[in-house]
Amino acid sequence: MVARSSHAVAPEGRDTDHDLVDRVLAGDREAFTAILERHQRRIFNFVYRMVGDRTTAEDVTQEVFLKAYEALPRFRKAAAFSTWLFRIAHNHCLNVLKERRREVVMGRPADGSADANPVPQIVDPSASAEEVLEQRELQALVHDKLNELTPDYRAILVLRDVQGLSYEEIAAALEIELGTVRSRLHRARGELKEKLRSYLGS
Amino acid sequence: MMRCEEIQEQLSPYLEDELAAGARRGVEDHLRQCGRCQNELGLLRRTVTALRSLEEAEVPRRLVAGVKARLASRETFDWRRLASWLFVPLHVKLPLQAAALLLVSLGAVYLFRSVPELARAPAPPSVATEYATRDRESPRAAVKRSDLDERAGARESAPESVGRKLEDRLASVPRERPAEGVVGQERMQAGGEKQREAQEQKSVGDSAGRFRPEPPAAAKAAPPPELVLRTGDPARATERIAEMVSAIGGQFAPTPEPQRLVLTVPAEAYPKLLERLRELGELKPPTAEPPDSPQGSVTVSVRLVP
Repeated sequence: MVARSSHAVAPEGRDTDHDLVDRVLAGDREAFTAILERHQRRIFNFVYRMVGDRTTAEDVTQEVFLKAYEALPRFRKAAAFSTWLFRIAHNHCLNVLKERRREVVMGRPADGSADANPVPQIVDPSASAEEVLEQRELQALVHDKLNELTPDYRAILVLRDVQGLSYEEIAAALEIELGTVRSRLHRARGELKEKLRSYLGS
Repeated sequence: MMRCEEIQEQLSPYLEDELAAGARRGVEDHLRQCGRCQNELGLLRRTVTALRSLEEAEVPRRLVAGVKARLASRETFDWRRLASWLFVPLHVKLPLQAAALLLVSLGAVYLFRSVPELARAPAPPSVATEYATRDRESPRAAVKRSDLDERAGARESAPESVGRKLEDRLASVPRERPAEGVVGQERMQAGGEKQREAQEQKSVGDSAGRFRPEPPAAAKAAPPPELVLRTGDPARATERIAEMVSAIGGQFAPTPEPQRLVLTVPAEAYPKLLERLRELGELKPPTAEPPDSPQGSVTVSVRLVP
């Protein structure tokens, strides 16, 4: 299960994100490694759900962190660092998806249209083999149906229901109004519900 | 049925507990009576639960190392960060760049005006023009120039820089032009360093003195008048003229044209020169007024015709 909240404040004894950013800006490259290790899991999972396949997700995630490193001097500390990272990741994913659509239109097979390299899932170790199988099937189903949604709907469902961001964080990450966050989330859920109706029962 | 659609639109806000108390009660009252909307709420709950139960994907082990390697591979990375730090945002960057461009332009103009060598740099084309003009006007100048060109050729054979050669050629210009050359004066005024210019010309003149005598000033002032001497033996006549000019204290100079000589004699000896020339053959015009000569010498061009 993915962590449901973004920790702007680090546990006691650890640097906060803002401390690490200050250290990076002061020339401490190791501090950026700490940032990488702290945020890679959430960013990679967001990107993976957005682009749909592991190979592309790995590449895109690397690019997101490279872009973040370059843009670090422009980071305004009024926002949570994780939210800022999600914004970069979201924008980069949209670019990748746009490029992929163009390739499909031009007749070239787009990477990630089918995941040839499925991501290993972290499953409950106490579950039985049948339960694990059922769980994996459901996971794959939801993942596929998510990928049938528009990027806007996909992003808001992943940020809210998979990553557990607050409405405010989502508004900042997607650069939209709070009211838009609510309305878009409810419409996106309704659309995914229709896609899952035949599998989840009426 | 309209009522059910309205309720179903509120099911997601209801799950999020976003509804006001009245709207929430309305949804709950409807749900108690409507099996269809209960099913929709159940399906929505399972959808959200399925989303929330999506397992976390394992992060590729090489992700962090990959980012670090890509960072390290960017050789200009630190410079880009520094530039980004200094010049972003755009409203700072653009005025700074504009100011830098203006400063560089002003600096270039100041440098150009304050360094006379730079101000003279575009001179070569105009020097060429001067040569062409003088060639038409002054056969004697043409003689001098060919002499100079030979020496310039000798210098060019030595391992010197192009700048040095250009400097030499520029420095040689005042030596050849007519005395008190107008162009030279304009240059001195433009450069604003008359004294320095004069020193440079003097030093060049000094070095030139080692090669040949300073040409008579009259020769520089105006093209010499031309006399035509018809004689049976031009070669013999040339020798005689050389001896004769030397005897009366003048100077003799051949030109690139084999049958053309340039003679400079003291003004008072000019009638004597004409007389001797008439002895050598038929001279046209038979008599010639000596040209004005403030320096006290007369220069004439003599063309020998067989």
